[in-house]
Formats: sequence, C-alpha cells, structure tokens
Amino acid sequence: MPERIVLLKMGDYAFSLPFDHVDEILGADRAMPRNSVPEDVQTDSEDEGLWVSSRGRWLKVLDFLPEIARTRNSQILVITCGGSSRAFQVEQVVGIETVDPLRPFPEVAKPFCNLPFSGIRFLKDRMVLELDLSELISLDSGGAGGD
Amino acid sequence: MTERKFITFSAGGHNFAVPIKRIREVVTVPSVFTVPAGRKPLLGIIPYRGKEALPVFSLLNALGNPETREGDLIVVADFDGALAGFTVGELGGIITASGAEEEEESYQGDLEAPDGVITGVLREAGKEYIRIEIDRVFGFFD
Repeated sequence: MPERIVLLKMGDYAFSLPFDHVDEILGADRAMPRNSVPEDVQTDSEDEGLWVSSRGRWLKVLDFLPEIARTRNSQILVITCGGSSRAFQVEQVVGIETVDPLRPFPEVAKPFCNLPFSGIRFLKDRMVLELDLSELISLDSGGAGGD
Repeated sequence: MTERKFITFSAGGHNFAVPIKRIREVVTVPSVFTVPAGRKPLLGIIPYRGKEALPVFSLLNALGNPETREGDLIVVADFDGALAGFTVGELGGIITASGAEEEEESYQGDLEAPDGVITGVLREAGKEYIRIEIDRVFGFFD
C-alpha cells in the first residue's frame, strides 16, 4: 500500500520521514538563541544551540547529520512519536510524496552505519533513506518541553 | 577424497578463491549509493533485482587493505537469506580442489585479515589463490 512521506535533502543524500509524524515544517529563521527562550523553560545555561517554538512548546533544534552545514535556506522539522516531540534542522524539505512501501534496511549493513535508518526506497535514480523515528525521538532534547 | 568448488576473482593485485556455495551471482553495477555516516568496509547500497536493497562492501578493505574500491563487479553472497555484495576487480572462474590440497598450504602474504578469514592457499594451473571464508569476512555470524 502506498505511503506518504516527507522527503528531505541533506548534502548529497535524500531522507524521508513518515508524513503522519511530521507536525510542522518551519523556516530556519524561526530558530532563536537560548537567551530568547522564556525563563520558565528549562534550558542548559552552557548551551549555545538554537531553540524553536512550536505549538506552545519550546524545542531545542537538533542536528542528526551535523557535518552537513546549515544553510541560509535550511528548514526545521518538528516530529512527534509516542507523545514526544523533537525539532531537527534539515537542509531542505524537497516535498511530500506518495510512494511504494518501505524496504527493510539491510541488517548486515547496520553495524557499519552511524545513523538510524528504518528502511530504504529507490525513487527514480536516487536512494532515499527513511529515518528511524523512535531513534530520533530518543536524541537528547536539551531538557525542554519535548516530552 | 572430497572435492570443493570455488569461485575465483582478483582484487587489488591478489587472486582469491571463495567456496561457491555462498555465491548467488556476479553482477556489474555502474555506481553504488553511499550511505551517510557509513564506515568501512561498507561502500554503499544498490537496488537489487528491483525489490531488495543490497549492501555492498569492499572485500579488500575488510581484509585489512586500505584500498576500498576494486572494480565494478559485485559478487553477491547469500548468508542464509541475508544478501551482501562485495566488489572485485576481475572474475576468474571456477576451480575444484580436494580437501588435502586446501589444507596443505597456509597463507604467508601481507593481508592482515581477521582470524579464520584466510584459511589457506590454493594452487591451480600455476596460479595461487588466497582462500577466504566469506562468512567470516564481515563478522556477520560471529
């Protein structure tokens, strides 16, 4: 059965996330330094990262692929899974597509990959890696209202 | 005397022999999709037979050689249903060796493979082949 995905670009790579778990896609200009976050939000005073407000919650902006530099046009994705939310900076949201079901990511390759993938698709001439939501959600949110 | 069949190929200036029972086929692939944050010996993934995602490894790299890409030929190995490909330079052929011949000569070369991966040297028609146990190369089933 076809599935709806949000398609992302990071450097030379294409990633996907299940559409139903993407709450918001925001412009990178919505990200703010910690000193802009209301005082009642728990933050790490040493933290120099960025934060974003989404539906009344403040979420620390995380990078799942830090080596890909943030660009002027980058975007922020807010995802929710199992009652928790996280915000991720991505280089570009390419689109929302309805595609064939996911194929499993090869088990034998997993020990050699440092990113969490739940599956893989080949769309036209490119490979799209589906990010594992539960692994992304388990990344440190910086103590703010992500849970 | 038992006889065993091996598929032979070259990579990085070495000749190798692998028991044929694990080999599904040899395919030519123009390019491999690299995996972000992937590490050696994984080279990437290719679509395989329209349905599966086949991980492709550098055999030489897995055998302790810094060289990572041997050629466009990919030997597809079947590990009890889990498929993996590894790149080789040139396909040799199929040879048959007796049990005695396999055990007589140990490998004395410069490849620093994990224990149990290189199990000896086979000779056939004046050529020397490094015999490898493909099951053990990537430690899938250790």
